[in-house]
Amino acid sequence: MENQVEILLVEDNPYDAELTIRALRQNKLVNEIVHVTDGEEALDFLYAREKFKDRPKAQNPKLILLDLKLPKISGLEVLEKIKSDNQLKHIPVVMLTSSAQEKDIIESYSLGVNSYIVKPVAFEKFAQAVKDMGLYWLILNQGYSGNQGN
Amino acid sequence: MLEELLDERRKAELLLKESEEAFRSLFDQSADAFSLLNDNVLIDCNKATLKFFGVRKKADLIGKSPWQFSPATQPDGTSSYDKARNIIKETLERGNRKFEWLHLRADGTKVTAEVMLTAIYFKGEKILHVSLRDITEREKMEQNLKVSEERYRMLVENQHDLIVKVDTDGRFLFVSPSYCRIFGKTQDELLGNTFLPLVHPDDRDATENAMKQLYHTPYSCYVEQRALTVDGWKWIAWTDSAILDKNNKVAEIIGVGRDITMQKEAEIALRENEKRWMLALAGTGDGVWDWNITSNSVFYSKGWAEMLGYKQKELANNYRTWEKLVHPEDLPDVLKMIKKHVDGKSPAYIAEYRLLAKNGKYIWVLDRGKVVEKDKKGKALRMIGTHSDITLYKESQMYLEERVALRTSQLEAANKELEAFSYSVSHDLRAPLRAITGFTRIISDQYAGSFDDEAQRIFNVISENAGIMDRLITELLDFSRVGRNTINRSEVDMHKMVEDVIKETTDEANSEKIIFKIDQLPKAYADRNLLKQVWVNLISNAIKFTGKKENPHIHIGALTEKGKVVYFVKDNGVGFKSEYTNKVFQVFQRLHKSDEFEGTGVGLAIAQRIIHRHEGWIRADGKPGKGASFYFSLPMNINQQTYGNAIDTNKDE
Repeated sequence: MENQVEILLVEDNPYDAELTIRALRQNKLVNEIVHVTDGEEALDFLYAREKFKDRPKAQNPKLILLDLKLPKISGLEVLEKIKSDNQLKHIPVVMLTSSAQEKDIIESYSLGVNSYIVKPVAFEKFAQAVKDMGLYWLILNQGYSGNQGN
Repeated sequence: MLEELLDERRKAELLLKESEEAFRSLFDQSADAFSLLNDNVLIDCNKATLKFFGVRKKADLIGKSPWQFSPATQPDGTSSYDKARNIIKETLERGNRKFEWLHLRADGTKVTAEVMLTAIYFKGEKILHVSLRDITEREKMEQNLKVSEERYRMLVENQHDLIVKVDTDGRFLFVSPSYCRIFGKTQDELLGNTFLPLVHPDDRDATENAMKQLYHTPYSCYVEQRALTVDGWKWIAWTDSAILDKNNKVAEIIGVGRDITMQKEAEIALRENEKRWMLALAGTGDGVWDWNITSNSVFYSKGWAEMLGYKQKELANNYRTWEKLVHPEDLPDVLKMIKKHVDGKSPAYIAEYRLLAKNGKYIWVLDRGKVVEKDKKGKALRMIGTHSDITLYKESQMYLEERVALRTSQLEAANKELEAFSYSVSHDLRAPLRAITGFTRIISDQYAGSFDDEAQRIFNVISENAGIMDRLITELLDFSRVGRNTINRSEVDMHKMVEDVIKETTDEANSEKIIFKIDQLPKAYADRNLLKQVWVNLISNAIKFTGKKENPHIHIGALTEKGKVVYFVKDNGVGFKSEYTNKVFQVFQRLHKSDEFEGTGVGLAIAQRIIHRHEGWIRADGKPGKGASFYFSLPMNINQQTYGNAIDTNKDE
């Protein structure tokens, strides 16, 4: 059986994605990361369809890291979809974005985002932010996955 | 023969006797008082005479003279004795005489008699037949008549109204003294002459025309004419009435005239005045309406009608005329406005609405009116107002509104584009920077052994510059955001805000070193978040530029200038040359080298933008090495008076 996917990273910028993955791995916070590059793929993954149709649908990721500006389907649309779906809404979603626009922050929170993090440009700060975030959501936070069953 | 003669004589005597008896009977029975006077003495009288003098028997009168039944003197002052004797003597010579005489009755009362004396032959003697008639009553009446005539005369002579009588050719038959007076002529000069030459040439036709009415019912006329009086041309109003003869033909004309010059002049002045403002209205093209609220009749002026392309006579003078022309969409609101004013709930009625013109198109009117008459209970009776055609104004206004709407939508579109632009800037420009810093760090960390110190320093330069660019992007975004966000004003406790900002902008190191002096600050009315940004920028600016001083001082206070509160932040930092005063607020403008003081040159530009968006002002003042001062002022709200005291205490320090 495949290891459970711990993080779904939705990021269209490959360098940002690489830096994020590096920061997470460096701190040994996570092993299983799935990286998709647009909103459509993100939803395909979550609903186990198209190229993810073989994935066991019941296994939801522990955390979703979502960029705002994405090709095809935007980060906010993906967020809305997740938070309005009873099977998915328990998954913590963290916005990891360059935008510090008030409008984006307000919209994200009103759609039910669990965290909103502005990616710092300086690598040290960026690495620290990703580390703190991973630590919190994957280790400290007591999540609830309705479909997992105990 | 003799026998015959005797018979004849007897017959004659008989006849005479019969005749004498008849006369006697006539004499005695007559209701008039008859008597016979011979040689100044009464020789016979009838019963009526006894009655006249109030005596019982003839003996009381017979043998006495007329003056014995008269007062000593007659009303003209002559003695009754002399006058009577003269009259008797004259009458005997001339034959008869009729005159008035004052007698004295037996009871002593006076009685006026009309006396008729006739000389007759009686038994060969010339005697006087006397007939007396009591005319006391008649005389009294005549006396009364005379008094009333005098009164009437006085009335005619003293009144100002002019009274004339003319014949059908217009020749004067009578002129009142008042008439003579105002024309400066005597009665004799006027009587027999015609009146027309006295009338102003321009009024003669009108006078003659009016007077034609005298020749048929109602046989009267009214005419106003100018006439040349001693005081110059005067307006006289005549009311003429025809006097008809037995055959109903006009015999004479009586005219009563009155000087109406004063009224006429006032009337002319009024008409001139009216003409002037009608002309003024015609000049503006405005129309006038005059509404009798009780009867619902309305006067619509020529201008009112013409504004709509109608002739005045084409419009019925009632309320419905107007109501039918008002655009149905506008009518309810207009009626509400009218009712509000008629009910006394608004000082004047004013409305803009559409009216249907004759050509089927609607025009816009500005309608302004006012109730001008009310009854005792305050109920409006009459309202007057004007219409101004504001179609052109309305059309241009609507055109402008369209333009404004268009511009606004263009601006909104531009704003949206700008927003999209800054969004993409904030999102997309940062990612490469992060890649640069991130991968530079990865090289320097993971491949550290491959590089020497110089290479490490260069990696740092790359990171640092990426960091600077990131900050520039952030502040540029902040700056553009200040221009877009709406301003939400509320009362701001400036003193507390400044204290908070100082806490937030200082760290342990400089909070101990810098001496802050904060005066009591008046409250402001502004957008709290934006205003805080201003204080943050100004105070952090002051902290930054005093950082290299031995004993840095920062003074924050307020003063009044031209009645307005001016807040200030003064420091004793590095300052700047006064010629750069205007440059400090320019975006990305820095007055110091970046290795001396860090910063992007956006902070003050943002502060200025915020103050300008509040319609206030900000200015800077500085001296190199001595420090800089920043002053700003914000418009106050209506509660500004409450700040007064706080401002004054500041001035006293």
